[in-house]
Amino acid sequence: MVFDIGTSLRQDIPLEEAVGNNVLGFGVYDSQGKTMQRWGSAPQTVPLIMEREMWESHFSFNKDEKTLVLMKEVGMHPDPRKPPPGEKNLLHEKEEDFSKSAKMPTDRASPTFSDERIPRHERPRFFYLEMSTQAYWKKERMLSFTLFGLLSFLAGAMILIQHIYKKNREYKKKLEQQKQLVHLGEAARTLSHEIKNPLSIIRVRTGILKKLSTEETAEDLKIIEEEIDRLRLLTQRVGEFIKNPQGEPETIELDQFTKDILTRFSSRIHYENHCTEKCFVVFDRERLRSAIENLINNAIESDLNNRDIAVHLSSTKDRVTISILDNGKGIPPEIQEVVFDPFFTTKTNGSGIGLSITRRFVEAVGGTITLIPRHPGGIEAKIILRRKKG
Amino acid sequence: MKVLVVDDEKHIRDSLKRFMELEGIEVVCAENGLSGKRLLEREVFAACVVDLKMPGISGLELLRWIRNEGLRTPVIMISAYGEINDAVGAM
Repeated sequence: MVFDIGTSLRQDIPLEEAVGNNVLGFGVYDSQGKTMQRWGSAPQTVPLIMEREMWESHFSFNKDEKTLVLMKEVGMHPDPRKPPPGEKNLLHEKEEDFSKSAKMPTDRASPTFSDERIPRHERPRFFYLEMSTQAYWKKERMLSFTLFGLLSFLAGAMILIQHIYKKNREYKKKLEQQKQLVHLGEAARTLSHEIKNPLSIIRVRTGILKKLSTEETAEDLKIIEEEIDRLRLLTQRVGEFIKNPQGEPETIELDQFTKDILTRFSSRIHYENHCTEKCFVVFDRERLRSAIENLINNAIESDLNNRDIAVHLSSTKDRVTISILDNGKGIPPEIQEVVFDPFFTTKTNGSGIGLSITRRFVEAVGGTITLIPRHPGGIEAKIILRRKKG
Repeated sequence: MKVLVVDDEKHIRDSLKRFMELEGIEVVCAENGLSGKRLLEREVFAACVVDLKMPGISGLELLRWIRNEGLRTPVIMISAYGEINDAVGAM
């Protein structure tokens, strides 16, 4: 805000026109504190007792900070407590000495009157200005709000970009993995077929040898047959991995289904059904059986001390959980990321295809599979499936 | 009893022949679908063991021809692929 008080005084321009809308009061006072010009909220006289305090602080906000008051004594050094070297402290000078001190070096920002047409004793000595700060605070609030909005927008944009970048990276990684799986699938399909033919020949020839064998060679032929069967099983499982993992889904009641599977295992598996009513899921029967059996076999093989294994069935309104809990050696943290990768195994005779097949089957019907470490040891393998209303 | 074995892989043909001969079965081998067809036109077999996938006339085509000719010979299809869809197609 810029206004010219000198011009207003000289040319009789109304002060309210000179000072603008935000000024609530304006006053000009002589050296006795009497009003020379006064408008609005400006006091009739300058309370001289405040003079010293005014030197301390020219500007002051009122309590609620809605207005700003400026009281200024002009024609003097702005801070009489620190006069220029060799000068007296102005606070102790008499009234008439103030005119002398007006000639002292002054702060450039401090207004002075030098118009000689106005007699010295009629020259303004004090200015009073009270301004409304509401417009200022409004602007300030608007600015803060705009800045806050801008920063929020920028932060949001940053988070969004980061999120998109992360998603894109995950998508690319997944795409790459899928490409690799396709190549792997093609390679596995060819390999599986190429292995099956010679394996069939070996199997038939072993059968012939078995017919002709003596007791001495019978044991050797038995081992050969077992190994052939292992290879046949592997090719069969690779085939399952390659095939459409959804298979032929049908509605399965899990309690009876799980009990049927468990009859094929030893009695050291404890089964608990925590569902309050029958739970149904939609899954290819053979593939769900294969998935549960895989996890139970893993649980059995992971515990060299042959401790008990638990199989729990539980449900929520729209999910069913099958948990297989063992007390085995667990999964070291460094391989947790790769245990589901095809052909990854820590077993001496493992193919590394079991867990990847299980995950493929479970995810194909919209389920999830997780391996959660247990305390003090072991794993909880958890299959979560969508529940079908019975 | 005479059985026809049709397979393009020599080792499989020979293995099946040897195995069945040990059981006292007479075996005649054909190395492809066309040879098998010619043998079936000339002779009567108690059964046929046919490979599903062969170059030229495949096992499925040979089976279709056998049925179209009105032959009642039982046919056993063998395959390294082990695909359910192929087996269903063969039936």
